[in-house]
Amino acid sequence: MIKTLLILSWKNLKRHTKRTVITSSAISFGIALLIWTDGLLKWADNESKRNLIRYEFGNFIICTKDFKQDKDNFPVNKVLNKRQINKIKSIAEKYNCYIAPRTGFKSFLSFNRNFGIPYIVYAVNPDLDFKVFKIKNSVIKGTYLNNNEDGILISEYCKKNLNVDIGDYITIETKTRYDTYQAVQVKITGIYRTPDPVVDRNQVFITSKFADRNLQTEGTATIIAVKTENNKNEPYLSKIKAAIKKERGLSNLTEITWQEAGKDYLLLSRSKRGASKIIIIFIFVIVAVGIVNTMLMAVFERTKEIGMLRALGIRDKYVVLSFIFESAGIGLLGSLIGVILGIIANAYSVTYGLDFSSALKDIDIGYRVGTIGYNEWNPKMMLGAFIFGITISILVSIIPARKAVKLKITESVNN
Amino acid sequence: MKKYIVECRKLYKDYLPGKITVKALKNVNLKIEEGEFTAIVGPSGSGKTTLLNLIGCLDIPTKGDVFLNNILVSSYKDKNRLADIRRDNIGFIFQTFNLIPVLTVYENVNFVLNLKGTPEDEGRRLTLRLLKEVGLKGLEDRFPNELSGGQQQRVAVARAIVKSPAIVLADEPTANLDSITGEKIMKLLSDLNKKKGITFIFSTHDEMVMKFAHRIIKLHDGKIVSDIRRKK
Repeated sequence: MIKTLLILSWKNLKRHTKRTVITSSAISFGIALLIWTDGLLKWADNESKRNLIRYEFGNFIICTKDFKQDKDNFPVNKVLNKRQINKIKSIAEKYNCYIAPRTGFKSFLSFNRNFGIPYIVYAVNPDLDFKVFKIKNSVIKGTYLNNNEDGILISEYCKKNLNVDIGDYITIETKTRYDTYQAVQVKITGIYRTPDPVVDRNQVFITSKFADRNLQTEGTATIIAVKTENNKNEPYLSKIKAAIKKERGLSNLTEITWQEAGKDYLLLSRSKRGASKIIIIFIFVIVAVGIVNTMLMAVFERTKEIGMLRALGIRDKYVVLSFIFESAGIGLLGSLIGVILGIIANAYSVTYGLDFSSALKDIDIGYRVGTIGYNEWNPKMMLGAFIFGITISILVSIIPARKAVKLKITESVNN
Repeated sequence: MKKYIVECRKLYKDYLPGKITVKALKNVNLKIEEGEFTAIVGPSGSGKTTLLNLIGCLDIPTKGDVFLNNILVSSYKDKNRLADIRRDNIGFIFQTFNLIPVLTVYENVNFVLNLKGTPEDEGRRLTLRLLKEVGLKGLEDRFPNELSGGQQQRVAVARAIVKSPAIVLADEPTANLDSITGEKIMKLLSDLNKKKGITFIFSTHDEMVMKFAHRIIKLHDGKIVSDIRRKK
């Protein structure tokens, strides 16, 4: 019986090839879109997390407890002193971790006496910072910071924003460690571009030596970023914490993991996962409308045939089943093509990426990624999308299929 | 002792197409013997099709009983049970042939046997034999739209009798055919009745068709107004 129904359904599918193809194409489009978008979002999410570590926080930060409480205001007077920095350095080295002491100043940058634009000026030790952060690898013009030369490393974004270039002098207006206003001119020696728009749009870098002389940091730092050997927090965080606890003179220190520091992003990331759900709903609507429309048309067109089949003695549930087989066929075809198209689109984006520069030039979408978007593979989603396409096709066909057997046989036959 | 294939007792059927109830059948009493070739005649709206539908378990009476092979089928409320009765006992021929357009001639006929669960080999043998008997040999692989009206009705005839039903109900089987083809179809039905002893009940208002019948039951306004038997 099932075999007979399958043959009948298959022949009915072939009966209206165009309609079958059109409905399947709509499903294919939705499935392919889901796979591709999911791949892009997955990449954007993972890349953002990688970039939070590479460009913003390292794996975790050591700072004073006071600083942690007020970290969003970048307090430059809540610092680790030289002795503490050296102790942390030797503890970190013991566990094969790299450290980068930094002090962030809330500042205004200006050029040619124009209005100042807010930036965070980070004072860094160039000999240590590049081992934790990838800023050095991101220099596109000029040179990276050098302890023997005063200079500022700005982003390409900042360069455009201030309309400056290498060799120009810009003014940093900020408060020193002792809460006095200071304005200092510094020559632009390098321009960088990272894939992290938060860094590019907000951060510039000077040497800690320059800060010591001009901003009264005196060898201190507000934070020490730590990069672990395996790029994971544990077991290093626990070990370093334990070591800090044991060591005298470090009791006022605490740690902030990159997850804590980047919790705003992680919250956003969670909500962005909702985007996949919206696409799933979108596909559900496409599939539902397509299948219901196709099946209703089939039911109306075949009223007489359905009546005849029932007159011949076929049970109603088998009539319903034959329609379900048909829509499952459409769903199978659509999902299969959709997965293939999705894989092709994903493969292209994985290999070459897509340039979203014009769309994302001045927009912050929250991801810590550049304007070239890549995809990642997500086989689970591909399988899920395939099953989803077929399942939805089957589910939404039940209503029109049941409609097929609601009419009286006598009415159907004489339709 | 006579064996009645069909028996209708005090049969009533009302329809409510709008606000006014239409009384399609009023107190119809009828017995059909096994092997009879019966015509139900009468003008349009006299209740011919309604009576066939009730005998064929396609509809249920408002009042009264229908027996098929002495089983009171009109009391069945279960759709599946009625479907099984139709599948195992009744063949249908409609005026518009009602073939399944996506199936070939062979598949249309064989489909009924598949429904019954007839083994494939036996089904094939029965189908091919019957197609030969109804004059469709060589057309097995054609689709309905590749056949003439007469050929399509032959397929419908083959489909109705391939499962060896207790009774075949034909609702105006020649209404969509020209007179020559119609006569050929009636001859075919008559021959099958004689050769296989299948009971046929058909509705018609065609004089030519009536001449093949052994028994003519005339309906008017939902009532039997005459029941004439003729020599076979």
